[in-house]
Amino acid sequence: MAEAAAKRRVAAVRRARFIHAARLSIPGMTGTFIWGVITGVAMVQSGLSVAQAIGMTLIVFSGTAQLAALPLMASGASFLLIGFTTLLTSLRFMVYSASLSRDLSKLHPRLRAFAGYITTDSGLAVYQTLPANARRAQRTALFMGLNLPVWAAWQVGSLIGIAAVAISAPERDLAYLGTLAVLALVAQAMRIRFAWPVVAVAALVALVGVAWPHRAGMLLAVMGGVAVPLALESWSRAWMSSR
Amino acid sequence: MMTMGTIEVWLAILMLALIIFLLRNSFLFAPTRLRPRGVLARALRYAPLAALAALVAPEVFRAWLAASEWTSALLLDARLLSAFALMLAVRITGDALIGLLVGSAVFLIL
Repeated sequence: MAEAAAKRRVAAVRRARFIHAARLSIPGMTGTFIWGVITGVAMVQSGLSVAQAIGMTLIVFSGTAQLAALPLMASGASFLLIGFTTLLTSLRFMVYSASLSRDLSKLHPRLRAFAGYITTDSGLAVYQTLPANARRAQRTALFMGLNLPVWAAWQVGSLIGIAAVAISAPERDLAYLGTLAVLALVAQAMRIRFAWPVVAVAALVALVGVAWPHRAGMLLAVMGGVAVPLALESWSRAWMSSR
Repeated sequence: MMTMGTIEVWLAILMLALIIFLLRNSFLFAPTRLRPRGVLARALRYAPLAALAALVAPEVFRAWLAASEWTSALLLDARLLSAFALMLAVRITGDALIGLLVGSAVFLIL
């Protein structure tokens, strides 16, 4: 009897924790929902079938990766280039997993893998504002509460976007909305140091090399966009130490 | 329009899913001492921005790339103007979502 009561108490704490976390995730849900609608529209307008679009949004579950891959897939780029681009544009997930490692690496592997799949940008942003001691208690309930509602908002948004295009069959090509969504990510990321030279060099090389064979322009653009800020870093360090 | 065949598209989707799954789970399974350091870590900090910029540039300037000669109409291209409005909105508000809504609105109106 006492054991059953204790179990119920734990379950109640866990539920309260989940609900508390889900409330914190509400602001992030709005943005994720809108992003999902746009990605849903862009997927179908890029030529995916409804089934492919739903499959992509369910199993990939990453706006950036999906939106980045669409123009490459539409133009028939090689799998190597698509994979490489996906890897580069989604490196932040590695950083996320490293920051979660301390709190989540003791979970059962299956639960841990699910936690990895469900990790969202806005869920993680809230998680990181919580003090370390507040993350430990009922960490699974907390983490799921922060991310599952965002996951649901994303999926519902995507489905609405997919359905809207499938039903209305717009005359105009709306795939460009997906490009605008990627551009918004670029604009947001431009807060980092040397962002301007990175974007200027990468964009310029990509434009000049747009017709080069095997999309070599894209590869060179990334290499140039990375090399320039690294050179600027070491020059500025040398300049500082020479003074 | 999609130039890939049905099976190719599904394979590409599976590849994306696998890469994203592995990245999201990387240090939930691997020890964090394997984290990249030094020049590699710094290069990886810039790589996402460079890749995204390289990806969008040809789409934003598509009209310019397709044009055979310069006309002033190229400055009023819907793609270019909506991209400009988006960048400006993010610059002013610091909010990517507002930028996306402004850019989308400009694109749909033009």
